[in-house]
Amino acid sequence: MVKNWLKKFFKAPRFLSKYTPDRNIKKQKRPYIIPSRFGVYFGSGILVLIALAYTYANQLIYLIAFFYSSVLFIAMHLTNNNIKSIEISELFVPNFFQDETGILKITLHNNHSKYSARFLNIDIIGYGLTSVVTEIPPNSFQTTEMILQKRSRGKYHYPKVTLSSKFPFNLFYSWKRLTWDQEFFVYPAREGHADPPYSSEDELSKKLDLTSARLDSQSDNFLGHKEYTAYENYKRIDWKVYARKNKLYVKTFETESSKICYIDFSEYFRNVGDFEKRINQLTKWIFDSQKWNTLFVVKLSNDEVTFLDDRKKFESLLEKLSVFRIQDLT
Amino acid sequence: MSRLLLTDYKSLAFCIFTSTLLLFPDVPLWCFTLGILFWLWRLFCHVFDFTIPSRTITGILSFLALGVVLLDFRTLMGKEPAASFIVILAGLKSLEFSEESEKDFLVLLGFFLISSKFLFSYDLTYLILSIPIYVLLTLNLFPTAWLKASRNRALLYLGKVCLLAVPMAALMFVFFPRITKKLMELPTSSRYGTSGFSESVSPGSISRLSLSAEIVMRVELFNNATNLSSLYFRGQSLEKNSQMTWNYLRTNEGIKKSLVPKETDYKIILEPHYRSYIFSLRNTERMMTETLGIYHDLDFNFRFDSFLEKKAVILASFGEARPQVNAVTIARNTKMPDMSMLTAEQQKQIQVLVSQLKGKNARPEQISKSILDHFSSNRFAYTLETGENPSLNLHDFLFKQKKGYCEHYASAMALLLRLSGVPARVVVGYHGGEFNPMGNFWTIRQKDAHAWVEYVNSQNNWIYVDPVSVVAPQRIELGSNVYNSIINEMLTEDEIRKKISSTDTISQLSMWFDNINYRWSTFLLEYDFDRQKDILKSLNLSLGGALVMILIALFIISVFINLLQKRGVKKKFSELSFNEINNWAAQFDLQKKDNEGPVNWLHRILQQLPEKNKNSQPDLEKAFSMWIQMSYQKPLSETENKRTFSEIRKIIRRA
Repeated sequence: MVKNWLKKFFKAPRFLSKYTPDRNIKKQKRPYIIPSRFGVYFGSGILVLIALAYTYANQLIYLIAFFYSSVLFIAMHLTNNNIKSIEISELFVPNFFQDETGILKITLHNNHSKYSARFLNIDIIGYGLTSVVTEIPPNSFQTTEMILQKRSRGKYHYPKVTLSSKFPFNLFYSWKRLTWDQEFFVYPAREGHADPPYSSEDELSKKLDLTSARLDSQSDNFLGHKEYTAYENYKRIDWKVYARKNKLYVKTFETESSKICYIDFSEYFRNVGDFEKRINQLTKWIFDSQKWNTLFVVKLSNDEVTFLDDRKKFESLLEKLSVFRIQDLT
Repeated sequence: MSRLLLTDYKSLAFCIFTSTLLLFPDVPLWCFTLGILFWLWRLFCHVFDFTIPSRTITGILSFLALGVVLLDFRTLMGKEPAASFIVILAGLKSLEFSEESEKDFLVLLGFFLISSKFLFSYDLTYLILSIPIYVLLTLNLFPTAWLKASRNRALLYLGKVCLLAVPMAALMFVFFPRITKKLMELPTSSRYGTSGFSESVSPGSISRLSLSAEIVMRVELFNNATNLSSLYFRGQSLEKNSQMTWNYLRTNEGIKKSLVPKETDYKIILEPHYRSYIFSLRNTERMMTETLGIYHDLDFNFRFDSFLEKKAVILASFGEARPQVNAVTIARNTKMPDMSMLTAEQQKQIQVLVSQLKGKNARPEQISKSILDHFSSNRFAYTLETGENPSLNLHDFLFKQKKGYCEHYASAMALLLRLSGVPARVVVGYHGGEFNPMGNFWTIRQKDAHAWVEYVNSQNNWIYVDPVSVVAPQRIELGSNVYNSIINEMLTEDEIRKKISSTDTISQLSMWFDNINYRWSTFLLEYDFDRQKDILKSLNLSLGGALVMILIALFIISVFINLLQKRGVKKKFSELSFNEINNWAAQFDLQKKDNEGPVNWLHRILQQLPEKNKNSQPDLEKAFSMWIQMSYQKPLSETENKRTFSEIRKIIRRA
């Protein structure tokens, strides 16, 4: 009971964000403190002064040594508190493409009601990334962004973050470490110069035995509206126009919009020349189709057909490709 | 990089340089010059943008310096070699300073440099001078970026840290147990101290001393009021003479350890003079100090068992009448002066004078009076102008020069007494001083240095006589300070009166500062293991108890710092009320959804509430309505909010 009360007392408020994961994902350890290298020298200096004061029975040297011992003691508390009042409210790494730069976004919250936290070092373990936050006023948040890079695709754990400080006198080193039980994807690189394997709606509907409505593709080359007839693809009805005019209209696009990119995984990866290159090429096609808003249909190795008609599906396929291995084909 | 120190870290450079300057009197000249040369080198590099020497070069130079210090002092232990090496090291480190990361080490060196000054002096003036240096050094420990951006905030922050540190330091100072044994045998003798008298006095040697205003000692008299003219502080008696030069004669006759005074008649705070003798008032019988042993001979010339190389507090008491002078001493002090250097004519002239002074009555008292009368009636003058002249002989002084300082008259009178067959000797010490009415103590300076005569009277007792009292009575009545002012500045009567009463602002301020300095020195010097034990005894604490108390105090201060920095955002009353409601609902496994409004949340609670709790429905509705009012309707005052919150809490707890 007491422990709960203490937990409640020391708990930091959450930074409300759509990326903020559940509380149990975040493991923020208590702060630790040790003397810094300069702190060791300084402490030794005080000992030397006390030894001199002993030897020469010099009360003034005693006084100076005691004063600096007190400063040392207070500095220990100040450095510890400088870290203690800081919580990492948010850590977010959006997925990014291999060989390109990603962003690591970290939000710190100073939950102290009175004092600013100063000169905090953020170290991203395993990435060699460091950043310094010079000041976070009381009861406020500060977000820092750092650039990440990865040379190979895959699924990665969120990096461990060390928050440290030597403020104010560089005599002590206080730190706390945060582990965030979450993962991010590094998509395959967007590389390759081959043209996408386009099919027409008719070809594909025969191949996959589907209705044309299901295979509706769109490009962003919008031509205009025309009235809806019973044969039109209902997905093209512009409901906004309907709301204004109380009449059904459909959107028309350029002719190339009828092109659909279709990939059958088992066929595409059958001749594995350079597996990575093929994955990279596929990623580029997927990315381009998303960019130009053309329909992309994928038949996965388990014969599941996926229509990449919204962003989530694109991202989901890219995530699969991030961890795709040759063995997955069989 | 050669400009980094003197552009970005000006204050740090200033601190190190000033600390080096403050150590000038305490380290050998070559060390100080070397330290300053390194600074000039750095300045040269800065001005002409020259490359600063590499670390290899400065490393070699520091090893060389260490070697030379070792050769010079024959040791590296002790305060003088240490201070000398730190001065050179600070110069070298400042010379090679090229990166921000080296700043901390330089600051640490600065701390040592300025602190080492206090190994040599307790003086409050140095402490006051060093406080801004300590502040600037500590300020330089802050991150440079912060200092540049907001120096005032950094200063304020430092002020708060110091405010917290002061009581803790005071507590540690009072209760931290002092060990009286030395940790190791560090050399304590100095090669340099020469202040005060040497063991010989020749014509001009005291007049040279009288040009210095350096403080010799401060004296506090307790039991008897003493006027200035009777304040003779005896240093040592000189019994061996050669012409007019008098030397100390080591006899070791009747040397014994001084007894501890039963009652303190006066207290001396003696500045270090790197000699073993102690200055004492007439009829002093017992003396003691904490740090050194004190001995005295048959004539009560007091001496330490070692050289006095730091300030000492000496407690002293007067004694009964002195025993009669023994035959050996009389024989030693009746030894006729060697007159062979003088021509027969000169010797005859002196003989005539001596026989005139002796007259028919050969009693020592009468002879002494005749000599004084001779000085007063034959236009002898008291002056500093004669300068140093160690080869001056008695004839020239008595018949040609007829002017001199105290040592001329004391030497001449002692010689005349001996020529008349009266045992006599010269005594050197101090006379007079400045009285500080604020602190009720006397300050004796080098310019109060004095010499007088002692002769053995007809009852075989040593009697002191001061020939200056007849040549320049004002010097004895008013003291050297006022007398010299009168002579040199040609003061009017009003000015003399003002000078004597010391009523002008500068004198008052000077006395005030001197008083504080005296108290400060006394406090530091007298605070020792015994004093500490007295304090602990008055608090009913043992030494172990004191240590435990320090630990408890540290713990309390630690908690205090944490409480001061109470963490956690202060929540609004509406949030607190909301938490109360939510916590209450949590016991029925009900949790508010993120997208749920307060009214919906209330309805859901009411629907899902167990049957047995249904009767708390009206209370809950009331609490919700109050919370909604507080959160979403027109803002209430802080007091009203608080009242509403406590009401909601009551309702919820009842429910």
